[in-house]
Amino acid sequence: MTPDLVSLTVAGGSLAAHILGTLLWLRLPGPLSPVLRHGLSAAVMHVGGTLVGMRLIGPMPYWPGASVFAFGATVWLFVYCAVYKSVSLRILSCIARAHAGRLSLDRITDRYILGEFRDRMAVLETMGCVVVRESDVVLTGKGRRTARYFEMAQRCFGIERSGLYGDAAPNVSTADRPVQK
Amino acid sequence: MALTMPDFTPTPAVACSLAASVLLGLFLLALSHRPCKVAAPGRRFALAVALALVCWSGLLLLFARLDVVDLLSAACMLATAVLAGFTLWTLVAWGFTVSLLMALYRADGPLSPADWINLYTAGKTIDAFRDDRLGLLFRLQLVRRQGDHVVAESGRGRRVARVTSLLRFLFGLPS
Repeated sequence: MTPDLVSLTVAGGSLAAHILGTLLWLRLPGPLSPVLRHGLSAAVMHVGGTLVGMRLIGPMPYWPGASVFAFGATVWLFVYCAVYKSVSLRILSCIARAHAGRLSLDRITDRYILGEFRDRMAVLETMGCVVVRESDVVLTGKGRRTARYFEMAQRCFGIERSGLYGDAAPNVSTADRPVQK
Repeated sequence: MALTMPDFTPTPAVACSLAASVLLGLFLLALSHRPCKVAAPGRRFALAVALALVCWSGLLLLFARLDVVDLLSAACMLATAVLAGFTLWTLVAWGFTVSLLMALYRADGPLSPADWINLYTAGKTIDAFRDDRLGLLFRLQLVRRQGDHVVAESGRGRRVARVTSLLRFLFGLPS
């Protein structure tokens, strides 16, 4: 086996361990976010796999294995994020599971679209970015700091407004907020 | 047995990919501001990737040797940078949770949940948001409209739904 193939084999083993490790770790409760768990597992499995390879096999080139491992771990994270966060895929699964594989538009709005908003608001509350006071939502210090970081990143990359209606969104303050339809 | 350090020296092809990955970030920055600004974030990212690919191909022609493993690892390295960049780009440009947070931040005061959603959608109805998310499924022909109902297509739509449900189960996510 050539040194390049040894490096690729070690990377394949590390990637398999990373995939199995994340499948187990993501099911366990804990304070770390899923994306952070992916990142930590990838780092540990890559370093661990490289060390084990060095110990058992000997010298080998680093980059062939490292690049294939990095690509595999990124695709794995990409698949996770698509399944975890995609509103469209979630709606599709719910439609397919519904009776006769069909759902009314009103039910999709009420149950899944408004549900997604509630879920994301709950995520921000759990992260400590917002709190609910007398039925109003208030930004916390942590939320303001996080928003400032994103504002800097958006300014750096010339994104005036983020989100679905980014280009159309006016700069509305609480004094002139639009009326809910 | 003593540990022997691996060879960390990148091959010319891998070095070309590392350079192209840095160029991807620089192209994104350049295309985000005048005079080269591309207004739509999606087109901007696609153009930055295309420019990085052109530079990568040129660098490979100039410096790389014809070796399958070397070229594969170089391609994987650049693909990693593109995928990671795209993930961050979608978060900053279109991220749902981030956009909600930014809407509240720009409102500069407390909001009721209804007003918060209204700010996020820029005053459009919640149905517009639903139609946007369903639009992707319609374009990919995974679902079809039947009166005021949406129906999963029996072939591709159901298969994608099954794979999604299986992956959610594997990842331990609620279905």
